[in-house]
Amino acid sequence: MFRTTARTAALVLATLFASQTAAAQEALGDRLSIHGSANIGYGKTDGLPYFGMTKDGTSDYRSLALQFGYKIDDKNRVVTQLLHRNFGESPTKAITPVIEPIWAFYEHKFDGGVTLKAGRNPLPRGLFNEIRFIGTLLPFYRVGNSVYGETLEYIDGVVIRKPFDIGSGWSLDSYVFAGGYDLKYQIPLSSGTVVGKIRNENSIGTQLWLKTPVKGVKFGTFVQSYQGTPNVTLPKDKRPSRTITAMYSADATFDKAFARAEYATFQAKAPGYLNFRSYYVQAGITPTEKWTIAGEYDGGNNNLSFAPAPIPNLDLPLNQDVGFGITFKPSTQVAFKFEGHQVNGYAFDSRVPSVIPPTRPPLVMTLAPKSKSNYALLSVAFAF
Amino acid sequence: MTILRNIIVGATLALCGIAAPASAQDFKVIVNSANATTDLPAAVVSKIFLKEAAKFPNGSAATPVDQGKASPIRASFSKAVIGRPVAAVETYWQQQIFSGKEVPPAAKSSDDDVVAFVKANPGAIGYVSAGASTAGVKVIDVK
Repeated sequence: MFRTTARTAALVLATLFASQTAAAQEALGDRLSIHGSANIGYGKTDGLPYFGMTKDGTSDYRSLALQFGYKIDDKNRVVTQLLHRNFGESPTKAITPVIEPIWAFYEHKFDGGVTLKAGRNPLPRGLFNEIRFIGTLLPFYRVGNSVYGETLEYIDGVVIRKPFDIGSGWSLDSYVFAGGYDLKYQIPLSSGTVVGKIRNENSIGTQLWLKTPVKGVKFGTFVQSYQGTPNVTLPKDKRPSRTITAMYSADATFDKAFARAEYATFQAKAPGYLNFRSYYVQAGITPTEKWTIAGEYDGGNNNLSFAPAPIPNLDLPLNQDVGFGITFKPSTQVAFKFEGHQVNGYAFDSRVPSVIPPTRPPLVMTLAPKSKSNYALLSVAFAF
Repeated sequence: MTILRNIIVGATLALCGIAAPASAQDFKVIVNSANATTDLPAAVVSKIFLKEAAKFPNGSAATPVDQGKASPIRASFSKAVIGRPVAAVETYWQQQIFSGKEVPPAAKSSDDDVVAFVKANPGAIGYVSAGASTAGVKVIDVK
């Protein structure tokens, strides 16, 4: 009798425990989200090394993202995303951690549709900033290189979002943000390629998206002002003046075709004058759900002066990159891509001639002919 | 000339993916029986399922629940209400996830699971096949 009662009690307890564990697991499953992506490639140039690719080819080419989210309740959650990236022989490897917590933010949703994020946040900038490494969402391994570069990937601070329904099918998605971030750079000098990282602070800005009544058509404006921290070029007590950067976006994405363009500027007035302008245009067709064929043109120029008048500003063209790519997506979670590009310009991973020194009066330097390299990139992307 | 114009118009519509309106509905949209909502415009339901709206028009919080990716009911619902195929909606969710904005609604593997979820959650909204039993939940009109 006692044994039967004990067995029954044990059975009831075990069932209760198992059901509670299952309930707890289900509750955890509803709260915890884990997502990831991998973008792995093989790239090869026919000459000059570019963006980590060499003439010998490299398969040491990847970006991996792993995202963990935990929903505290319907209004609060925390999210972190870890990123590993390695682009072959790119000089930027020297300033890129093996694994980087690219996001770590707390989010609160207020009544009325306002969302606040605090911590290391994705920076809303243009069409692709937050998803720049998610290969299943991009027609090329990398989009708009001269526009997005290696900077403004996140912001340490706050981001506030508020969507507005304007009516008649129009809506506005608005963001304001403030904080600081790391600016990475790769500059080809006559002495060789220089890479580095500068911390910028006191950044404030906005991104606005105007969505039209035509489904898939939207326009965006991003404006940001920031201040570099003291560095070797300035005394400790002196700060550089503020830099203004802006980006304008237009996007028309339909089921079977897309066209988009973005234009970015950086304007700084001290210690010299710099106006960096860049743009890309991209278009493609998606004849079936599985296939995409796309083309892209990416370029711009640098207008700069580090000397007082009357020495004129110097216009330095940026690289021009013309690319064509084909993507096969057997599902939304997998994409195989093949792309070919031709790059003309002065910024490669190794030094190329940029100016021809004067040999006789008037002693004016002239731009050297552009160097050229073709590259091909085969890649596979996963996302879950 | 007319043929040429028809070809141009047809090609433009095909490229822009402008779909014909869905015909007969083979699903029904359900909410918790305590929810006062009786009908909703398709555009509002779409916004709730894409998490562009967090509330019903009456101001109460909305919790959408989807069916599995391979479900034919989801394919019908997606086309008719959201106006996009499931693959396009999946791509939308990848963009939302990897831009740190939102995660997709919970997905249930059967009509019964969706009904159970809607029954248990006052703010829930889901869809089930036209022939499914909806005892204990409320079917609403989607226009």
